[in-house]
Amino acid sequence: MGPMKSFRALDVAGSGMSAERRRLEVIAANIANANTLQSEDGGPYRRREAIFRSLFDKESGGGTPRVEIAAVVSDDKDPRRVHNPGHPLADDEGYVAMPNVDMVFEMVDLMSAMRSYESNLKTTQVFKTMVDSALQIGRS
Amino acid sequence: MNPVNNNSTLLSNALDGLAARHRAVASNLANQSTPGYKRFEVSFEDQLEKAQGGGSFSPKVERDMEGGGPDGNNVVPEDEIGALTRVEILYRTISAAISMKAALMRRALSNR
Repeated sequence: MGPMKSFRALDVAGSGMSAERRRLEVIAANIANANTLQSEDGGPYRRREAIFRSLFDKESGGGTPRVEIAAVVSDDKDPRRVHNPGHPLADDEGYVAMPNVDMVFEMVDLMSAMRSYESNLKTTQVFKTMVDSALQIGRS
Repeated sequence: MNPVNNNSTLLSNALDGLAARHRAVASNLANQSTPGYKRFEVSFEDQLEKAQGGGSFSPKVERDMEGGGPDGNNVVPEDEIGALTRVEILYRTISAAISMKAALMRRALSNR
């Protein structure tokens, strides 16, 4: 077993942690922009989502895959319409188009991303105790 | 066949098998948010005995296509953490067994 393969688990878990961290950043942007009425395309902010993809790379030699963020895509769900006639951006009927961000959904997604991050961290911790116990062989 | 070496092969093969399983669990946990991902499984226990007689040992990596949520991903993170913990405990136990054997050999050779 070559050194590349020995540390493969750390590369895999590391890819998981950085992908989950990107996902957390996207969720944070959604929450921060929950009330942004004018984004770069003129309309209300649209929530974004990180899309995960397995990464079967060459060095894995047919082994099990890492993970990466394939893309961050906008959610094309319709904006939320809120009745607020006094608002400068209200339409003729008095409705304001608000971002399609659902705060409860984002919070649940946030928790899920954190748990996923932590489980990858657990993989690296277990790897370390395995290496430690292998290094103990022949001592004492 | 030398019974001492024979047994060492069994134990070190078991460590290799567990390391391979750890890599599979690492991929499953890393891909728990990947749509359509199917989990990997490593089996090696049935090969241990055969390899003891001098046969080759290579842990079998298989893909579990059963089940899956609405997005087609069939990783259950809780199950993977359970598998991870089993791997950790077994790995430490077998390492300890190898150490004990080595200590026993030293004692026998030191003639005390």
